[in-house]
Amino acid sequence: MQCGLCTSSCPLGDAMEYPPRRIIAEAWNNSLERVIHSPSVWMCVGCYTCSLRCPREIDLTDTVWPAVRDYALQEGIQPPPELRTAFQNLYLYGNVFGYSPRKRLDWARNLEVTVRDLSKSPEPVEVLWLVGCYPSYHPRNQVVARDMARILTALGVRWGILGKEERALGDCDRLFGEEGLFEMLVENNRRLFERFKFEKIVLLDPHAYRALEKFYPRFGASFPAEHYTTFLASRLDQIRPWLKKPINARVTYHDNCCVGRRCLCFDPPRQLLQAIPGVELVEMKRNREHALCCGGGGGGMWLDAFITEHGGRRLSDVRIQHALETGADILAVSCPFELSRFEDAVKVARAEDRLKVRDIIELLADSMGLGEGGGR
Amino acid sequence: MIRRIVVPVEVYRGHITEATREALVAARTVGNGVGEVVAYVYGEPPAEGTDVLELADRIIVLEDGQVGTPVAMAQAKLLRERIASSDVDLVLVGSSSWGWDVAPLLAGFLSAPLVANCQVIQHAEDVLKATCRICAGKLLVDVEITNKPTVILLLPGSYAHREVQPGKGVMERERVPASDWDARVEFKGWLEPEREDIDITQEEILVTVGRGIGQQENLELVEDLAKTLGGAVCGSRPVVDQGWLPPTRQVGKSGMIVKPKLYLAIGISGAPEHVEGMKDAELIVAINRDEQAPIFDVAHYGIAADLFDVIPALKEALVARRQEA
Amino acid sequence: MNILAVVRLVPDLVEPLVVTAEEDNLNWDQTAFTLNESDDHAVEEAILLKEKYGGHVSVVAFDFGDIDQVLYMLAAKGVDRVIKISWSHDEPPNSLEVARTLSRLVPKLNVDLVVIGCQSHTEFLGMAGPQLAVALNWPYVGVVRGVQEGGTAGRWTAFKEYPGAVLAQMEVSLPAVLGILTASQPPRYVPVSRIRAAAQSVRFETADTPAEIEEPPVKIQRVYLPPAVTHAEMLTGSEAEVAQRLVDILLARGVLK
Repeated sequence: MQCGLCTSSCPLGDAMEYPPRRIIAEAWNNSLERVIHSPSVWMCVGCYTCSLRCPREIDLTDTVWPAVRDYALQEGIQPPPELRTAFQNLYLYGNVFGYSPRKRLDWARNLEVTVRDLSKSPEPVEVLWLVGCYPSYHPRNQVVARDMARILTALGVRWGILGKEERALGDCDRLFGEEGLFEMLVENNRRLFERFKFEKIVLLDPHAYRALEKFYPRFGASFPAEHYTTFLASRLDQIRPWLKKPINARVTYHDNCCVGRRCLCFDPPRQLLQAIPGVELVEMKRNREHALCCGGGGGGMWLDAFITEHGGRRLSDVRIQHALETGADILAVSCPFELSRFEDAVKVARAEDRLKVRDIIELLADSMGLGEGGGR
Repeated sequence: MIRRIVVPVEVYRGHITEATREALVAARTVGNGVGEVVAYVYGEPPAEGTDVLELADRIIVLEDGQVGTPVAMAQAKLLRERIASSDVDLVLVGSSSWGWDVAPLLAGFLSAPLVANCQVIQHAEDVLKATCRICAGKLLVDVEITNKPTVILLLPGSYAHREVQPGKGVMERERVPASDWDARVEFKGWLEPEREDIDITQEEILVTVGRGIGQQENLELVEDLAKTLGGAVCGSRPVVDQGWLPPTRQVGKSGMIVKPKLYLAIGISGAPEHVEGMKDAELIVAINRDEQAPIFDVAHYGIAADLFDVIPALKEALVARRQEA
Repeated sequence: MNILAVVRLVPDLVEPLVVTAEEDNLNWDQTAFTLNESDDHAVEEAILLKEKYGGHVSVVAFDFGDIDQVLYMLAAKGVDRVIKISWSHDEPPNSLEVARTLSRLVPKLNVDLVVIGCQSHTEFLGMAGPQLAVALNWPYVGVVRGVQEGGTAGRWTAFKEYPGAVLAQMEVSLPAVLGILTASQPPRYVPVSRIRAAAQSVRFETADTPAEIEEPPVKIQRVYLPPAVTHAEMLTGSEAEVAQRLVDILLARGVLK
């Protein structure tokens, strides 16, 4: 159990005082006390590389890290301020931003397609779409949400959303050891979902998808769920006739960790991109299960300053170089965190005129003649 | 008709505060040349900058013992009898750390109403109306003041630049017996903050740069402007990531949350991560070439122009105004 | 050392404020509430003092809205005793009601120090902390950022905040009321599991002191929302004109000295 593959494969392992291998060693020696006072506790970004590499198939990301963090929180160790605020916001408002739940539908204001708000008029639907915190509130991601609504409608899917009753699924808090908060969100969401009739849940956020798929069933909350990439890829035959406008560009795709490494689902997003006329798909040197994490997962989104300070780098800045090396015009993503992380990284790399960051949904919508053109 | 208005004078480290000056200007405005404006000064007035006291008709210097040490509780108590026995209709206090203690304590001692967060006082047909701004500026309340005296704690700004006639400026001195001083609170001294860099959360004026400034060399222009304004320079994350400013100067979700009196955003697009750190600033002014930039949705005033044209013009106008004054 | 912290709920500004049709008050039915921020800091400072010097921390609150949830959280943080004052009105108590009621309750509690947030964003007619101190005839220092044991003659030291992060070191005789602006450390985070455990185990006491009702000391004429600003007012013209206009605005807003 001390081969060290976890540590050597960890994208921040070299910067950790207690990388995964040492944490395991300290746990054996009953000296986790030392670990929880170290910044290392807050440096895992939930990328699942260690879990994937472990020859003993120990799922470190989903077990060891949350356990250490849970222990730290129970011992009264304070999470870094930004994460603390995110936890508090989730607890009080059900979203990480601390925005009003009443504003959850703001993204759909002036939207030309009909939005079925199930919280107002419950009716059976085919797809219960959980829009997610970022697409609901974050302006850059709201564009993606609107494009998704247009695509679903164009495909004739009978879809509905939960409007102001939707709450975060609570993925990052679980990975960050805030088990109590996660349980609270699971209980609320389970009761909420059970009120409605739907065939499956579709999500934009891969972390939320992973939580619903892997963790919710442990609390007796089993709901059929799909990330949008697999959902849309399974309807590619229906989408293809719509894809009329060419997007003449070199496009590289960044595998997000949860749909990619965690669920080993690499082809559907690529199938979607390759279906778009004009798109030339190029791969970064690290792709699929070897893709480098953007650094935003499992709560990393709210530890940006902390991890940059203690890790000496921001993973999205490193990853953007991989994208630039391909000579691509567009970096395609399929995770709401990545738009803002990579758009910032493009600014830092001063490559705004060379590389655009766009969600696969936006590219599809553009080619279907429906898109709003976010990030174009 | 207003008979008499009292303004307790705050001296902070050798200077009469701006908040006090505004309270005196407000007193003159509300008194409208009829009501007598009485300023109470605790201890010997400072050597410089006392001309603002000429806004009062009477300046009463309270002397002796610890009377000049900044202990709001004891100082408020010294006015209890003086106000209760002299036909005072209003007590006006400027908002400051000291004023936030003096005003409510004095109201308590006098069993008088306290009207805090007051933005403006209007006087019409013998009815005094105060408008208060509460809930972080999201709610306004108009109140009618009938009780005499009433203590009013003024928000800064509303009376800063009104033109008023000076008062009679007659100075009197009153000795305070040591037994009148409430010694249960004692001022021991000032502690200066220890830090390597300035603390942008404590600055009243912030000039913030985004990637729109293009190159590090252009920072000089902005630093120069900040100096003219009497503020500090800070930046958005990409600017700090470039190493153009230290992380202590970063505003936003992963940086500092700031609430200055003026936030001048230069070349800032207004990403939500940045806005989270500055949206509660009292006055937000944005300069950005792109008139569609989201920063204009949070700013109070916007200038859609090239910052390299606007900054020199702004500096020039500031310098000219200073010379006029 | 027995410390009593006072906590109050205030309208949560995350939600839009709604005013009654008569414009005479907030529409309380449509108002969400949250713990007053500086009260949260006051509790934190009380717990820090207890951890440092020993003693006992009680919290008192009016039984209004979802105060129970707040009190469970504070209990999970390390508060020893929770006292609720019965309150059956639609709107939260005003500052004078808080001050007046507590001035009757505090003498029964064997308290050395009362800490309360030095401000709340709805407070404009009266202020609870200083007016409680006056009613008790206890000394008061407000705008405090941190408290320490150890002044001369058994007094305690409060650090009062001034502009530029300068602190005035104030020694205070006990018993006293301190108006806290910020605690020495940010209010601690307690895991939700702890809050849920507290909800199962903590018992609240109800004060035998009834709430005092006080009419506002001035007549409220109108309660209203300021005109909504959704976009900046754009300044246009030549550079010189724009600059001049901006300088005028800064002067009018009292920003320039």
